[in-house]
Amino acid sequence: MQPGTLEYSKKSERKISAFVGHELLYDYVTGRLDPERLQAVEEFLKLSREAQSDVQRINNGLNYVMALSETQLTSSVLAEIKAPSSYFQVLLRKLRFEEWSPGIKMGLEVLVVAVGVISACLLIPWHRMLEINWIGNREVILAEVASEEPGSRMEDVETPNAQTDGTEVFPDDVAVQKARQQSLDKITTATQVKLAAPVAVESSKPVEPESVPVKKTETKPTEAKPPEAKVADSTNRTKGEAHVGMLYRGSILVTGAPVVSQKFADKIHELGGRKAGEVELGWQKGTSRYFHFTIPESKLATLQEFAQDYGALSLSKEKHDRVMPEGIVRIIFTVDEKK
Amino acid sequence: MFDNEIKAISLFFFFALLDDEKALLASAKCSDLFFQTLKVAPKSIPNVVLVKSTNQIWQKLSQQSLRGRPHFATDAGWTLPTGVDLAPWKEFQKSAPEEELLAILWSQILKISDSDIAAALSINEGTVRYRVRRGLKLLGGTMILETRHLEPVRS
Repeated sequence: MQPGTLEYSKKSERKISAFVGHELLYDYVTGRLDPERLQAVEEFLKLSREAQSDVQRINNGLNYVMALSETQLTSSVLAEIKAPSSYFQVLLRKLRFEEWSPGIKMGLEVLVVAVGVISACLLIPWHRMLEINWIGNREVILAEVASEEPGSRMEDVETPNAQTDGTEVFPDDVAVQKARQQSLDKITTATQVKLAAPVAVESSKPVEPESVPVKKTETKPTEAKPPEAKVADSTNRTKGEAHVGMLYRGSILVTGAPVVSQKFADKIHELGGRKAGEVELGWQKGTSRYFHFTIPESKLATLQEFAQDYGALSLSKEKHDRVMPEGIVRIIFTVDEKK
Repeated sequence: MFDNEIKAISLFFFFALLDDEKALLASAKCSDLFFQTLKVAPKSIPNVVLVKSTNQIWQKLSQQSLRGRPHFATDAGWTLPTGVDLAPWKEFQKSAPEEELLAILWSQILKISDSDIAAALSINEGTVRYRVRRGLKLLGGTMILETRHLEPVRS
């Protein structure tokens, strides 16, 4: 036996079985067989038409995938693959958003916006928003007066008049009454009158009508006040500025606000209190009941004791432009339902 | 850097999925995985990592039974060589066993050596060649069938 050769038969031929022949066809086509195997496979191919057919198929397949492997990619594809993609972009790609018709896209956008708006409307606590005092003070607008003539303007009548019996007439009352009469004739502009409009200066001395302080008016100077009205002169205003006015503000949480409010109103009347401003005691504003009144200072403690039966009435004393007569205090507090 | 690998990955998923959008997504995922793996194991053979990465992403995608539903635009970014018809490949992609499809892709289209494929899949090289042979035979047979199908009828 020659070195390097193997003897597989009596004629020294290296025959292979059909199974092995088929298994070696790929290596045969790709040229990976050693010479002896190559010869054996070629011998096998001569005898097997099926193997010849397989070789043909493999060659076809090889040529085809060779062509496919030449497929080129554009730089945009490579860039897109390299670019880091966000979850949203991936989602859009998956949904094939670009392929959607414009109508569907627009409809979807409208739907999203509508859902957003509705959600916002449902989630915003509107009742709390409405209770927020945006302007930062707790003054309540009680009346809106429409007037054109200077005499009907609040600025013209804001000087308070203290009556001889010690009770006080607040400017809102005067303003509202006058405005009501004058606004019947002609209504052109609206002026908001606030309850706590500045300056209520008491004057114990009668003053000449000419000395009525005139505030800014757009048209004519203030008409003469009724002679019986006591008005503040410049001297008294100076005095009033020196004597700082005070206002009690507060609130109380109670159970059964309507009933308790009525009791408060009765008690205030009983203690000699008087409503200040236009609204009645216990005027309902939203869920609150509003009390704006004057009361003798000596009765304040009694009122606080009375309030303790229903809840904690917290009153804070603060400076205010309006100066009250001696021994009289002005109080604003609200009664709210305990939650 | 690694442009060839990215190109190989995108070609793999284009021919495996025949869906340009999904191929882009899968390619992006796979390239991320490929680079992460190389970052963790810098001494790894890139082709082995490439086979592993593509196989891993493919296994996830194949659960969605994506084969047999070609979807791609003519301007999708893949340009086939002139005169090459994709019909035989579509048929092959639809009907071939998964192992043979992947073997053809790695071995013949991406030109990855049998030893690297075998190393990545933890199988013998012989097994790889076996799958490639069967895949080529099936693909070649598909081409013959396509040719016969397109032959004009002679009276």
